[in-house]
Amino acid sequence: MRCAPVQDLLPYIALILAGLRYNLLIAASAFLAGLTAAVAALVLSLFSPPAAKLATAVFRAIKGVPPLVLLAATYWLLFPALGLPSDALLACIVAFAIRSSAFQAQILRAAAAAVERGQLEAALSLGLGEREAALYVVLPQSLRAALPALFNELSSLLKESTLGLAVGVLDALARARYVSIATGYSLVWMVAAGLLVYAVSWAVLRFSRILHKRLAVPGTLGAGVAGLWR
Amino acid sequence: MEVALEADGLVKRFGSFKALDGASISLHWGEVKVLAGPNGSGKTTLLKCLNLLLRPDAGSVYLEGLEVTAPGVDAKLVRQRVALVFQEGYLFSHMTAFENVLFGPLKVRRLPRREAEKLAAGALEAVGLGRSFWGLYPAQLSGGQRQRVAIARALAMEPVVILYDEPTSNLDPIGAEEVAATIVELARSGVTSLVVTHDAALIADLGAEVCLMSRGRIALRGRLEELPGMAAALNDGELSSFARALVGRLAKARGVPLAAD
Repeated sequence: MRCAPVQDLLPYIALILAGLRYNLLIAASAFLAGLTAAVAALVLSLFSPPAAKLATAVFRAIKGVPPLVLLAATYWLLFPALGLPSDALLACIVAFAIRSSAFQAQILRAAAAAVERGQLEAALSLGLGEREAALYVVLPQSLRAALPALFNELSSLLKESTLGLAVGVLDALARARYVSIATGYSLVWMVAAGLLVYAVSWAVLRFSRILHKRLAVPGTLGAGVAGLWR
Repeated sequence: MEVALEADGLVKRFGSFKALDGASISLHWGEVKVLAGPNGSGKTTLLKCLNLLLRPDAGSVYLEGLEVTAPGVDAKLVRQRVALVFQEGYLFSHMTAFENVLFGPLKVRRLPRREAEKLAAGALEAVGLGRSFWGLYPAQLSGGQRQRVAIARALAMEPVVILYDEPTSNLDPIGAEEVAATIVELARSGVTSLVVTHDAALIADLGAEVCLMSRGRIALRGRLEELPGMAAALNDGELSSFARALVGRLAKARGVPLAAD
């Protein structure tokens, strides 16, 4: 079997690469929307036990649903029910935002649990309001501690976004499938698309490590433990 | 002398446990008082009620003559004027020493940045922390330095009174000594203070009246060395042994032979 010349493959490569923008868009939008919801849930639940209970129940329910089912339900049930246009990309973003908010809320809650209660009390004893105390004292410390886990979530979202194919989003993986059908080299293109997503995901995690180090509070373990063995 | 802060008949229940049972105390402007008592006698609860961090179930708190436990009074405004220094300090660990002290004037009192920075700098200098410490984070400071930052954080609010909750009990002897010296110096410069402590040396250095708490109320008040006699007169066994132990500790620390019981 003769291999096709490289210049013949270039349009295919460009086609797959162009599809990557959907993965990036879905992952980034769902991540930011999910983070916003998770932060709101944390701030509300810090001072309101009923809100905390409700949030826990809702997030637990969301986490139990397989991502593909959630995506299908958003596209074929939720959107028509709300009278929204049947936009596959938007449905994908909404579905993954809902799913991610549940995971990010859990990450933030675990990180907030490590903040001393006394610090919150100290903030309140200065005369600060509850919401402001949560925003100024608990949130900055929780976000710092949660950074690696949050970026893990972003990297999972990047991979989960390839499920968009199910409702017709032409992302990198969907295009790789079409190209493999067109060219007959099935495995090669799937691997290529996989490597592409992997590269982006690696870059995200690499960035997370740099950010985590840079934001670490001096004198804490986050800033590195090398000094202990000097 | 005008009364700066006064509590009258405070009651606070936690479930069926009565942490405060008619506690009354008053502090004049510039006055320093010590609050001592066995564990669970209600000292911390009393401080938290004075700061309105806890709302008493009954009784009244008056700040500069105004009843602040009356309905409609914003607890947040009261907390700004009645500063609380905790046993563990509880500095905000993601902020530098300077940011910790700046936080109150800037974010709570919402003063212009320049004015807030001036207050923060003044407060840090008042507790004896020079510029070289200002940029350090709590994890980089010693226990005594951390506690002094916590005191500066309270000072920067320009409060009517500072309430200290066992400020030296978690520190090593050097840290305890530097914090005690700071508290004594501030008290001498006229900062109205109520100090919960079992640090006999600190009580002696403050030279202040001691209020002994027992079962949620102030059982007796007097000078440190008078306490054992007064407690014995009350026929309160627990309180007597507590008072004797407190005075005995000082005698030991100062190398003075124990007075005959």
